[in-house]
Amino acid sequence: MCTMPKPGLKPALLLILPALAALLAGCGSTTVINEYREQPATTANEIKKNESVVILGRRNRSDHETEGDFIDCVGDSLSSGSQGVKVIPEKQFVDSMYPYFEASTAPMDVRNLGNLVKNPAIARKLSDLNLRYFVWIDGHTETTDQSGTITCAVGPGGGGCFGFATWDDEANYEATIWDFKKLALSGKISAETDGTSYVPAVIIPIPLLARVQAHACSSMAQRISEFIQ
Amino acid sequence: MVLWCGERVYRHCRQVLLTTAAGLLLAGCTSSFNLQTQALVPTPVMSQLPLTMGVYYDDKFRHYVYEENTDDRKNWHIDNSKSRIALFQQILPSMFRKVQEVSGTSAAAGDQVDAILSPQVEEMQLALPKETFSDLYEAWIRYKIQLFQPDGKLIAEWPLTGYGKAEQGFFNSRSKGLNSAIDQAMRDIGAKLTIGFSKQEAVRRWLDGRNNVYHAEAGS
Repeated sequence: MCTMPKPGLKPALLLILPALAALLAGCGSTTVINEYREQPATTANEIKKNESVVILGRRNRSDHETEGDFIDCVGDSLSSGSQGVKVIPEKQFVDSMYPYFEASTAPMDVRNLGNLVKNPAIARKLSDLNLRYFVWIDGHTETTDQSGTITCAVGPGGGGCFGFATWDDEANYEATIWDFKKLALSGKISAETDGTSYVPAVIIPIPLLARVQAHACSSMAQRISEFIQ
Repeated sequence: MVLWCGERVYRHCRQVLLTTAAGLLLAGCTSSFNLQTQALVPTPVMSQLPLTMGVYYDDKFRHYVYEENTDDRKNWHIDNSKSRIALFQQILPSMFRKVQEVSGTSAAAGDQVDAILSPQVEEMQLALPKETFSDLYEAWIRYKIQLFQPDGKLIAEWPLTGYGKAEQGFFNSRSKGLNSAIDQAMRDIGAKLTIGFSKQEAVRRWLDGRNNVYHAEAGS
C-alpha cells in the first residue's frame, strides 16, 4: 500500500533533505592532535596496574580558566574501559595536598615538583597515592564567531520560533605529562578542535550542536592513554 | 476592611494599611544583596614548627563585613566572618605545635606563648563578569598579618592577598558565583600563609634566633 505524495511536497523534500544533511555534516567538529615525547616509548614508561594518574587543570591565568568539567571528562574517559587506568579525582587530590597544589602555589615545572617532594610530609602523601604520572592541562573552549537570530512569539492561537542562528566554537588544550617516578617531563599533547553549531527554527528550534569540548576531551583522553600505557 | 476595623478606628486602620502598602512597594523597589559565605579549607599537609603560637582576633577582624551602596551595587552586604575565623582555626594547628587564643597583642599573665599572630582584614574587592567583560566572578581579599613577641614588640608584619575566581556558567547565579570566588580567595590566603610564614625575612631571623637560643640551652 502506497500513498501518493501530495503535489509540491516532493520538490520541497528534495530541497529540505540535502540542506539538513549539509547542516548535519557541517555541525561535526575536527580535531588536530600533536604529540611530543621527551624520550621514545618503552615498557619502562608504561604505567603499572597499581600505579595512578592525576589530571590537574592549570588555573593561574587571569584571562581564562581551564574548565573543571573538562578535567573531569578527561579523567573519566581515561579511567573507563578495559584499558582504563586508576585516576585520582582532581578535587580529592588538591584537597589532600593542600596548600601545595592551589592555583597560586602549584609547581610550574617538574623541577619545582622535585623541590616539593623534599618535604617529608608531601613525599609521604604522594607515596601513599602511588602516583606515577601528573597530567597538567591548560586551555579552554570559547565561541569565536556567531551570527543569525531567532525570534520567538506567543499569541492566543499558539506560539513558535523562526530564524536561524549559528556559531563557531574552538577548543585549545595542552597536556603536559610529568613522570613522578623519574621526576622528569615525559611529553606534551595538544588538542585543537573546532566546529560549527546551527539552530534552524521553523516553529520549533532544532539545535544541531557541534560538541567541540566533548570531542577535544575524548581525543585528548585517548592520546594520553596511549602515551602512558 | 472598613467593617472589620469598625467606624471608630477606621481612620487609624486606613493609615496603618496605607503605610504598610507603601512600605511593601518601597521594599519591592529597593534592591539589596546579602551574602553569607562559609568557606571550608582542608587541613594542610605541614610539618609543625615547635612553637606555641598565640592568636589574637581583634573586633574589626571578627566583625568585618563588606558593604557597598552604589548605583551598580545597591545595598551590598557580604559577610564572611565565619569563614575568616574558621580558616585560622583550621590552618594554624597544622603550622604550630600548639595554638592558643589570646586577648591582645601582648601576652597576659598565664599565657605561655612564644609569639602572637594577629590577622587583620585590609581590603576586599569583587568583580562581576559584566564589569570585566569576562566570564568570571572574581574576589580579592587583602589581609595584614602581624607577629608579636609575648611582650607586645612587633617581630614582623606582611600583607597577604588572596585571589579567587569562579566561572559564570549557564546556571551560576551572582550569589553562587561570588560565594565560590570568595571561598577560593580564602583558600588562597590560607595557602599563602602556611607556605609563606617561614619565608618572611623577619620571621626567619626570629626563628633562627630562637633556634640558636634553643641549641645553646640544649648544649649547656
